[in-house]
Amino acid sequence: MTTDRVLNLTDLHFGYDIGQSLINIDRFDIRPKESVFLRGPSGSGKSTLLGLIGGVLSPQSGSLSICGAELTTLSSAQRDKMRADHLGIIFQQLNLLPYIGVIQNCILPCRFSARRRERAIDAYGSVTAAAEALIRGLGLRDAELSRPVGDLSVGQQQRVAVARALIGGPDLIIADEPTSALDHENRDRFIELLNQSRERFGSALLFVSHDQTLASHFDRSISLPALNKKKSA
Amino acid sequence: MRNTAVFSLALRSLWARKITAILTVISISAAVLLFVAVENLRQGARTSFERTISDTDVIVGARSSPINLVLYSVFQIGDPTNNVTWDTYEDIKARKDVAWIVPISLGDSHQGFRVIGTTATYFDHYKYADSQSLSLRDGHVFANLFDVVLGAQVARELEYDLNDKITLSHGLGSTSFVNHDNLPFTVTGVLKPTGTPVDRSIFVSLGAIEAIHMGWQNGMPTRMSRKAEPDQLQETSLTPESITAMLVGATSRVRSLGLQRDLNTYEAEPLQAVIPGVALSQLWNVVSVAERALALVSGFVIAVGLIGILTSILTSLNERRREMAILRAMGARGRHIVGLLVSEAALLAFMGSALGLIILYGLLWIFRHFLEARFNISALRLWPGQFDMSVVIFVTVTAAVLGLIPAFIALKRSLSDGLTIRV
Repeated sequence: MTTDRVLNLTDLHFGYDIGQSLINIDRFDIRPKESVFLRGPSGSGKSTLLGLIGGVLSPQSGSLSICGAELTTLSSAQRDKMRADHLGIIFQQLNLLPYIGVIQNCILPCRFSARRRERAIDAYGSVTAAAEALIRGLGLRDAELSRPVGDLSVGQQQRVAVARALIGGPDLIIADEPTSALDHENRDRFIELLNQSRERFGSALLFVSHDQTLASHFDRSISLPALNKKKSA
Repeated sequence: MRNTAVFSLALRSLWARKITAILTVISISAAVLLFVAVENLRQGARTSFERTISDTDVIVGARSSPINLVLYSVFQIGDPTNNVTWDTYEDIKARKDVAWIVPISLGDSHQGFRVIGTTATYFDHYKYADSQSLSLRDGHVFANLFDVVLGAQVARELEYDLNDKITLSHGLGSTSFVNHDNLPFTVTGVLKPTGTPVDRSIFVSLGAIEAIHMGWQNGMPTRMSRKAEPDQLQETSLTPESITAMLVGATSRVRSLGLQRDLNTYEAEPLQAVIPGVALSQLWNVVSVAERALALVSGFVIAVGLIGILTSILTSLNERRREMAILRAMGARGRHIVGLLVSEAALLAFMGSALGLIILYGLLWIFRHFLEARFNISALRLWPGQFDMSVVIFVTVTAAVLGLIPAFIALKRSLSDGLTIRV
């Protein structure tokens, strides 16, 4: 029953010090292709939760599985591999490495994941072709592909970040406040674009934001403070 | 996944910080250049030092110290203490275990270059490097009393050619108040360069030394000697009463030890016989103290350069926190982060040391003639050798090991940062 979940947390506990509990979640899961809005004001344990899901942090107790694989039984290198293979991550802003080009930024996940590299090649012939197709699909023009990433607008950079998260069709996209640097109009357009493209690739989406007004764009909305019964700060 | 992927990222990341990177590379290249140059000059100096004399089994002179004897008879440094009588020379020459003997008489100079009075056999028996003989670039060895043969450097620096007339001065200094200007010599031969003190020598026959001092008393000219004319002297039989030193070849290598012992206990007058190789290595031990100090200093310069790499990477870590977080989020593992920083350190060190070698050997190539002429070092390596390669490897590997320090700091940090970008 849990194996059909993209993400499944049960009785998850985490704290940096003994007795402290930053994360204490009884149950949270995401089904394939589902889009979930997670409202998380600062201090609600959002960063910690993302670190746990990404496999960078390791919980004290409980269960955390991605696509049926239990992260708590894996080594840190194996968790890194899970992240590379199954997750696409979009940050708030300045997602891109400034010293490599747009296309190179976009194919970064394929450097670290053979699975995503093969899937990108299967779908488009080559990773570069995949990157170009994805970025064009998100509305960037050819001229912008060859510009240094620092010359792109924040909106354009965020779209490149979406293309990068989607390349090689990961099972779950995690977007951490990706719209905080965008104005209202661009923000709605960006979310629509993100939703459309990830639907096309069949990826589920976990969208984290403090802005409750965005919740209407998603299948389901959850409040982290309600979910996380942490004991002390 | 693939470490080549990380390496190309390291390259691009480094290029994005090119000013710091270039400065770091320059500091490493300067350090490596200095270290390798010191080593090269040291080896060159040592080799040309050891190449100075070969095939001579024993050098014989009046009793002083072995090093002093070698210095004045071969290197033309320092002053002879005493002379050896001609009778002794004849006596040694007659020994059964002596294959050849070349007399040397010192005490005169020309514009700071020392004059060696000897016989034409000098040119047959004096060997340098690997038994190489002297050869003439122009002309022939001295046949007449007032013929002179010049070393290559003498001819070049004083711009002398065949048939030029020169006069000798008494004493070994570059300025002398007593000149043999009534008896000019004619240049009949110029030697090819050898990279040994021979290049700085002027050769005349023993008879000529005798002739220019004829009638002298107590090392000063007298009225009689001033009037001497070349023509008068040609006919006089000129056998010196004494000489300064002699180069001796034994009939076999084995005999040279017995010969040396016999001569050191020679009864008619106190003699000293030294085996050139032994004296040269004693001499080198004295010289090599300074040389080792220099090598030590340049070794420290490399250490400073390596610490410079470490510093530049450590200071870059703060501004690269975001870079590391992005890479981690994209699936980079711990070893990718470590690989990125270690390969950056190794790359800086490799480029720096390679650049240092290129600059050094470029300069040596451009200035090779000048160096040979000025410092008399003919044994400089003009191409990087095994030693230079091992310096490059050592510096690169050490930098990579030092790179582990920032690598583990970055790794630890990227774990605590999680997937959230700070800064």
